[in-house]
Amino acid sequence: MYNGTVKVKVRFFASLKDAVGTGEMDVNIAEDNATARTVFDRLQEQFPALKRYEPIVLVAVNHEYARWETPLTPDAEVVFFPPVSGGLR
Amino acid sequence: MIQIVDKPIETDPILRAVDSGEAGAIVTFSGTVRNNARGKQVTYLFYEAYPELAGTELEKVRKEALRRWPLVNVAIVHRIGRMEIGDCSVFIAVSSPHREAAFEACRFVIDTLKVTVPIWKKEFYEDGEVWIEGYCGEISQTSP
Repeated sequence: MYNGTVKVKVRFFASLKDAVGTGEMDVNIAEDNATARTVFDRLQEQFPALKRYEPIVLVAVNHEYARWETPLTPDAEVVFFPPVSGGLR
Repeated sequence: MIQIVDKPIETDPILRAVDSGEAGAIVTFSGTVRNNARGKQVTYLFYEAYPELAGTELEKVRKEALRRWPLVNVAIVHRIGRMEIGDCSVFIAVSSPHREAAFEACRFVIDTLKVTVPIWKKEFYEDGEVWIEGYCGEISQTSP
């Protein structure tokens, strides 16, 4: 857990990238004990189009599947992306 | 062999990568771009990967196949970017001493990577485009 402001790099893929309008941005979180959830909540305020993705979005931190409560270290890379389709067999 | 490429997939090097004197069978799967989906004519596809995680997840699928079946080798190559009808988007080659394991493992690899590896496709039609993603109906995403 880190106290104070953390700067993280955020990336988006597929339809989330379209919803936000960019694939990558830096986000400063001035909040103690920031998690992946903190970042997504902040982004939803800025990009309301993200709201409908909340029930299904997946998150990776530093290129590993992560959970909402995964704590963020300074300069972490946080990636939000949709589930993969599975396809028809 | 695990690769994510942005050019047409060359299959000969993939077959060579899994070939071995110990192998009595090589089973391959080629996923190709179909000209229709959901009752619509598809004009072309675009595949996008989260490359860092996709590479890790492809390697996990490969290792799990090697753990579950008595195989010689497994190669998986996925293409990303724009693809035309008939293009190969994913090619899998599995070698084993006897054919049954290679058939089963090859099917496991394609079925598993379709749900665990972060690679998405966007279908383009005459009148629009849609990301094909893993949820059913709740979120409509037809782009303008």
